[in-house]
Amino acid sequence: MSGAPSTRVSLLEVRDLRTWFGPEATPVRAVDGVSFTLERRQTVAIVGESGCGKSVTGLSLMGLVPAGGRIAGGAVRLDGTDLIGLDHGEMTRIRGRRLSMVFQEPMTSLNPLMTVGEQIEEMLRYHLSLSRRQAVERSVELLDAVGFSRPKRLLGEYPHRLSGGMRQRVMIAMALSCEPELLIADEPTTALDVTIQAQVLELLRRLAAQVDTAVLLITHDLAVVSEVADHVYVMYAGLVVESAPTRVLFSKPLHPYTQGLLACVTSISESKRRLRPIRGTVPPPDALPPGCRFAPRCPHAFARCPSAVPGLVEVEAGHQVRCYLHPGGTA
Amino acid sequence: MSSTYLARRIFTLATTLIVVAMATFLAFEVIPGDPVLTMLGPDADPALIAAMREELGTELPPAARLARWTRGVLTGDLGTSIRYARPVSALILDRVAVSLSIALLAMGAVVVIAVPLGIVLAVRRSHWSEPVISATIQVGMAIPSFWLGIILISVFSLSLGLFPTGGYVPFEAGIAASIRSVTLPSIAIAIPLIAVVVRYTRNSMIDQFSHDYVRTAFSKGFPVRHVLYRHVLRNASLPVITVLGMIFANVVVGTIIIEQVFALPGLGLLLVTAVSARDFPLIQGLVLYITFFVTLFNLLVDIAYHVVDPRVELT
Repeated sequence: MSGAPSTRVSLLEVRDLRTWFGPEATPVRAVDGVSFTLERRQTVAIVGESGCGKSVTGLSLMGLVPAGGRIAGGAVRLDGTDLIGLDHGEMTRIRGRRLSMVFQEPMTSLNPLMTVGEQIEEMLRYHLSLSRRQAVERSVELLDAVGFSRPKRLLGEYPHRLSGGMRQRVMIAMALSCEPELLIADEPTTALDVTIQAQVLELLRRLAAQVDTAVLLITHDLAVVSEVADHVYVMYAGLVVESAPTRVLFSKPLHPYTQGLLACVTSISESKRRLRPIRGTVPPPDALPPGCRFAPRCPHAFARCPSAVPGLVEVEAGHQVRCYLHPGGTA
Repeated sequence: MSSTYLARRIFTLATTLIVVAMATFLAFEVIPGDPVLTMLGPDADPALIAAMREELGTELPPAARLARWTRGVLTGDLGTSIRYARPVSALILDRVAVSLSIALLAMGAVVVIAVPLGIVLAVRRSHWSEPVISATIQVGMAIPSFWLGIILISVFSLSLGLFPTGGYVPFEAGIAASIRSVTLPSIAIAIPLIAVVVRYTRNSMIDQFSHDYVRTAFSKGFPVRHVLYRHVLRNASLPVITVLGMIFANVVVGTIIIEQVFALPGLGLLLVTAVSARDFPLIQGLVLYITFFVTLFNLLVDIAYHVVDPRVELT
């Protein structure tokens, strides 16, 4: 778990990652100095509302920052190798094989003109140099593993014949086909029906564990986090505002934003408590408020909040928070 | 593709032919001009004129003439040309090779040149090249092919002597010489259309780059070339196929004009003669023929589209 210093190199170490968009002089800071660590076989979650920079963080790790954006600083070390310094060819060799991703949009993420089989097989043949027949056999196994009852028939199907849940399972099969060290799952269940969200999530966790793949789960859904994550990073407006082991975060949330997010989760055991939404919305990264970026929405904001961005301080082992309300938060 | 689909398409094709035939017939009912007077001259002997009218049946009421012509077409007889006094189908057959070789060569040039060029221009984008490319494409699209034909003759035929200035060499007289005789007219037709297709191909490729499946392909760890040729190209080809289908009609119209410039004895030249002579059976026959080819080509395009895109059901 996090906190305890280890002699071994972490699987993924992100330090002060900055991904900016737009002009050099007045950049839009979508990700503005994010740091986190992920150990082998661990599941770590990044949580936050839409627009807080979590998806861009995921894409930055993959080297797939959308057009107009650039990594302006920081380090992304996968098993000690800094990915940001790699050239295009070297990064290409890491993607798919050591680092893969499942995207938020199952309906559009598959190539509409290629069969499911073609899309999985090309990966196996390209990375693992399997023969045609081996690739077909392995694809059938993979589709079987993600819960398709007639995997052989599915190979010849085109994506438009499949439901969102089925497509996302195909994406998961594809992403795990080369048994990568790390899978980035960006809102993998958000676009799916509530009834199959849990099913797909459980599948993701089980299969990742089978092939020893660590998972970076990007989500806005705290209910999802509580089930699968070992450690949680809460992001707000391009910054990590709180970081804690999952149990700690749920039992003792310190940042008012985290508390707000938790108050939004319907809990059966606490059904008497009313759902309290956080007022307002995430500020767009080109119009950030001064000081603490959450202050305008914060129920506890006081005079000091707009003065400067508070630092991330460790309040107990493994539990960090970026808020003036907490001792030591004076950076 | 089902047999009901084919049956429906053939029905559509037949309907198109009927509508076009009716429209042509009506047009020549409305516009002034008399084939007999055109042929014999205004000072001809009235008895001769009357006899000729009797023979050709131009004095019959329009409905009867249309009925007579339609009966003929249904039995495979396009009638006899007034101007040439020969069967229309024989006249067309004599000349179809000329127009068809120009059209096919032009189409071939468009596909072979414009599609790869569009791909290259989409992949190698830069800030400075953007206005140059779009200006070149604009100019290319605006050039009339008859003017281009004249320029090509003056450069490649008169100055360089590489190609004949005009005239057609049939296949039987040598394939190389035959192709040489239609090369310049094909290029003249093709260049403006190449500009159109380059633009479509390029825009379509650029448009596809921003789709999610491209990001997925990159996330799977494929190099740019693999993503481009295995993933993007197939998707980008769909609008290009559509535009190729539409362009075929432009090519056919283009042959009509360019045959005048190069003095090629094709269907275009025949059509112009037929119109000025008010040679109704010949006009009808030609229009039917041209419509048939264009419709057939569009059917082939639809089938090609279906082959590429499994989401399109041909029902």
